Amino acid sequence: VVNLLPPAILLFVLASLLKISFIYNVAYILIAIYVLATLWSRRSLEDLQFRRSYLPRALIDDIVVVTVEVVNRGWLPAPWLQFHERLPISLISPPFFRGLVTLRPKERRIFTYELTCRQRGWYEIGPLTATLGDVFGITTRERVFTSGTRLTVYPKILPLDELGFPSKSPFGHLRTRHQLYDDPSRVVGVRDYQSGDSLRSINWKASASSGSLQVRKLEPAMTLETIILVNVNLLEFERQHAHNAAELGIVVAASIANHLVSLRQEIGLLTNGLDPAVTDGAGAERMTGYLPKKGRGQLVSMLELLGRLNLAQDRPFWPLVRQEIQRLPWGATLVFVTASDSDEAIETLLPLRRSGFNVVVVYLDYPNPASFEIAQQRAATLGIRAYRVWREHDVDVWRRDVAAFGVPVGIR
Amino acid sequence: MTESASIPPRPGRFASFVLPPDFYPERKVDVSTWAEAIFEPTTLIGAVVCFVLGIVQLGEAFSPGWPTRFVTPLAIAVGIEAFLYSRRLSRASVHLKEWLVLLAPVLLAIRLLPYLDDPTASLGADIPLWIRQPESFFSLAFLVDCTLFLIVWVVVFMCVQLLNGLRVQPGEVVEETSHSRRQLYEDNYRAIDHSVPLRQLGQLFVWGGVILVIIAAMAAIGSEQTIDLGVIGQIVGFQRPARQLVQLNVVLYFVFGLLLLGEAHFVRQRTLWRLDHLSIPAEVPSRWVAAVGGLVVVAVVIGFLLPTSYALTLGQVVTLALTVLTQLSLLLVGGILYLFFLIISLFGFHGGSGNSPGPPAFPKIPPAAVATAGASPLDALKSLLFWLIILGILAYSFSVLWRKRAPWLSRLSLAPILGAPFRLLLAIIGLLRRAGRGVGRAIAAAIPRLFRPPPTPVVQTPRFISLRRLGPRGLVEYFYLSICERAARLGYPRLPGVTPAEYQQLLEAKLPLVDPEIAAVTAAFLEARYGPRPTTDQTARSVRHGWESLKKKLRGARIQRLGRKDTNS
Repeated sequence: VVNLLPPAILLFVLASLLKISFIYNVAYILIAIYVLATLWSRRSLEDLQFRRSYLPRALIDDIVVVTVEVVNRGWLPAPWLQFHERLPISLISPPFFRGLVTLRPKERRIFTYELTCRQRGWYEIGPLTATLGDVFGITTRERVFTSGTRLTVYPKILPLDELGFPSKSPFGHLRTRHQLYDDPSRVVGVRDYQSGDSLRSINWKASASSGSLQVRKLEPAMTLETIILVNVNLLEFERQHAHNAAELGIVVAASIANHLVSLRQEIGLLTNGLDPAVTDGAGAERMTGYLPKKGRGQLVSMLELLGRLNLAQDRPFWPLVRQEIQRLPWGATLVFVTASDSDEAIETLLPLRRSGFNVVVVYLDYPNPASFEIAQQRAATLGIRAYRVWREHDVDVWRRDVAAFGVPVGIR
Repeated sequence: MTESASIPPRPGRFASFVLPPDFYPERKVDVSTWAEAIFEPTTLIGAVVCFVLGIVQLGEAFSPGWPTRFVTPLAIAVGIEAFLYSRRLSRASVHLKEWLVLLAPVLLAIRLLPYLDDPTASLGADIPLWIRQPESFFSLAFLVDCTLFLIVWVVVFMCVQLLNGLRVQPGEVVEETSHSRRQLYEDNYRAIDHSVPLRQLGQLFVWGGVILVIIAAMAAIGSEQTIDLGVIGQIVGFQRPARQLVQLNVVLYFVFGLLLLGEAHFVRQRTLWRLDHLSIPAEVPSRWVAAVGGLVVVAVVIGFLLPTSYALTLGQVVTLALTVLTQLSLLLVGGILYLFFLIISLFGFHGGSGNSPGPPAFPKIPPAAVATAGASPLDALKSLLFWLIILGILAYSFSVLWRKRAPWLSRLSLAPILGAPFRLLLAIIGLLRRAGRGVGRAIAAAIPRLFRPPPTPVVQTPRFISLRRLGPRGLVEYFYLSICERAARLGYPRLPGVTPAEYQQLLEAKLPLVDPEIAAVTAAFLEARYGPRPTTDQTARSVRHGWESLKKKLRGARIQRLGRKDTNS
C-alpha cells in the first residue's frame, strides 16, 4: 500500500546534486525502513510452521476435532498473523476457519475447531493460507500450507441382521441344511462308528474311553462368499434423484458388507465409481474394489473406498461387469446394487446365473412399488432374487422383515 | 396542533449567518485505547508542525526580521483544533462559518502576540493606525502566518478525514444475528476499500517529506549541515533554532510520519479484521506499537551510521579500484614468474654459465599513480564504502520497482531495454555509413569528367550454373547434357538427329565403361524431358549418383587417353 522507494531514490538524487548530508540521512532512513520491514515479514513467514492433527477416519454424525498448531520457529516476532483454513462445506458452515494471532519468538499457539461429519466423503482439510505483513503497510505476504492428509467419512451403516444370502460353495462357516459336505474344522461331537465311515474320522481317545469305536461328528458348513457390485453411474439413474439414489446404493453396500463381516464371511466389493485416491489413473477401464476376503481389515478397506468414492458420470456399469466375470470366484453370491431393470442387465445376469453364481439384485430406482413388481417377476423367472430399496427407511423395513420371518421378502 | 406549529420556522439568511455553528457530532470516534487517542494526534500534528518549521526556516533565510516566535505554538493549536473538528465529521465537508469561528482567535493571536515579545512595538500606537488605515492591519508577516495556519488546518483536516476513512464506516458491519442474512447483507453492502486512505496518507507523507527536504535544503544552502542534540531543545521549547541546525526537524518529520503510518496501518488492519469478524487478541496493539517504534529507532540509527559524505567522486573511486586491481594482478603475475624462476633454477638451468649468482631479488613494481586527489587512504576507503552503499541501494530500489511495475509494463522485458544502447550505437554507425556513402557519391559526381578514367569495356564473365538453383527437372537435364559433353570430348558426340536412346546404344557399344549408369541417366532424362509427371527430388538424387559415377569413369578414360598421347608423342 505504501511505497517508500521512489521518494527515497529522489532524495538520493537531491542529496547528490545539492551535496547536503542530512538528505542522505533521511533517504537512508526510508530505505532502512523499507528493507527492514520487507526482510522482517519475509523472514517471519518463512519461520512459520503449521501443524494440523485430527483423526483421519470418522463415521457419519461424528464430530472431528481438528487442532491447528502455529509455531514461530524464528527469532523475530510476528506482530500479526492472519490464517485462513479452507474447509469442505459438507463438514462445516461457513466453510473455513480463520484466526488472528501475534507471536513472540519461538512461541506456539494452538487453535481447535470442530467438523461435523454429515456426509460421507474423502475431504481435504485445508489448505491453510497464512497472511503476514509488516507494520507500515509496505508489503503483505501470503504463504499456502498445503494439506498432507485427508479425512475419510465412512458411509452410513444400517443394521441388517441375518440377511441369509445362500451359497453353493462347499466349505464355510455358516451352518446349512444342505448336507453335501462336512467341515472337518467344525466338530460338534462323537457318535458310534457305522459301516462306511472313514477310518480318519475315528476319535481314538473317545473310542478308548468308551470301549467302542467312536467317530467325530462334523457339522455341515458353507462359505457365504459374497461380492457386492455397486453401480454409481449417474446416467443410469433417473435424473431427478440420481444423486440420492446412487448415495443410497453406497449406504446399502456398506450395510451389507458390515453385516456379512459380522458373520465372519468373505466379502468383496466392486464398483464403477472412481477412487480419487488412485491418482495415476490406473485401472480406469476396470472396476474399482476388492475381491473377497475375510476380516475387519477388509471391511475397513471397503468402507474407506465407499467413503471416498466419486460418483461416476459416464462409466456404464454392465460392460464393466462383463469384463470382471473372469475374476469372480465360482459359486459366490453376487449382490448387484444398481438402478433399475434393463435388457442389458438381464443379458449380463443370466449368463452369470447359468455359470453357477448366486445372483441377488437390489434396485434403487423404483419409487413406485408396482413397477418394481414387474421387474421382480422378470428376475424371478430367471432365478434371480430382486429387492427394492427406495429410501433408507426401506432398508429398515427389510431388516424388520428379516427379523420377523427369518428370510428377506424376496427369498420367501 | 397544526403542522406549521410543530415545525420551527427556518431562520432568515442574515439570522442563519449570525447564528453560531452547532458543531454537531456526525460520527462516533472509534478509538480503542487512550494510547491510540493520544498517539494519533501527536504524530500527525508533530509532523505538520515540523513541516511548518521548515517553511519558517526558509522564510527566515529570505527575511531575517520575520517574527516567528509564536508561529510554532499557534500552529500546534491550529492543528489540535483541526484534528478535533475533523474527527467528528463523517465526510470532508467544508463549513466556512465553522472554519472562521475556529481560526479567527488564532489569527488574532498571531497578530497581537508579537507585541508581548517586542519591546519596541506598541499596541496602543498601532490600534489608531489600524482604525485610520484598515489595510495596515494586514501586514505581510500576518498574511504569511495566516497562510501557514491555513496550510496546517487543511492538511490536518484532510489527514484526519483519511484516518477516519480507515475505520469501520457506519452500516459496514451488519448487526444481524442470522448468519445467512448477515452474509447476504455483507456480500451486498461491503464495498469500501480501506486501502485507499492509507495509500493517500502515505503519499501525502512521503511527498510532503520530499518537499520539506527541498525547502530545508534551500534554507540551508551555503551553511554547514550538522546535527546537534541542542536543536531538539530549541524546537521543543519553541525557540528560534539556529539555521544550520534546523535540519533536524526534517528528520523529526519523517520519524513522526513513520509512526503515524504505522498507526494508520494498524487501524486499517483492525478495520479489516472487524469486518471479517475476527477476534483481535489484546496483545496485538502493544506489540504493534513496539514493532513500529523499534523499527523506526533502528532505521534512524542506521540512517545516521551510514556515511553521508565522500572525498572521492564516483569516477575517482572507479579509477582507484581499477588501479588497485591492476597492481594486485601485476603482483600476482610477478610472484608466479618469480616462483617459476625459482623452480627452474633448481634443475640447473642458469642460462649457460655454471656459476649462477642465485635467484635475483623479487622485482619491485613501481607504484601506479592512484587517483586519490589528495585524499587519505581512510577517506578513500570511506568514499568507496559510501559509493558501494549508494549504488547497492539504487540497484536494489530499481530491481524492486521493476518487479513491482505496473501491469501495462509487465509485457516489457528487460533485455530490449538493456540492449537499447547497443541498438542506438548500431543505428548511429549505420547512419554514418549511409551519410559517408552519400558524401562519397556527391564528391564523385562533383569531379570533372576529364579526371574520370576511361570506361572499361564490359567483360562478359562466364556464367556458371549453380546446381543449387536448379530444380529436380533441370538437374536431371543437366546431368544428361554433362555426360553428353564429356563423351563428346572423348570423341563420341551426340550428333543432331540422334535420339537419346540411340545415343545410349552408341555409347554402350563404343564406351563399355558407361554401362550400366548411362541407361539410368538416359531414362531419367527422357522421363524429365518428355514425361507427363513432374520430376521429384528423389529421382534427381538417384540420378546424381549415377552421374557422379559416370563422370569419374569418363574423366579417367580421358586422362588415360591423354597419357597415351603423351607417351606416343
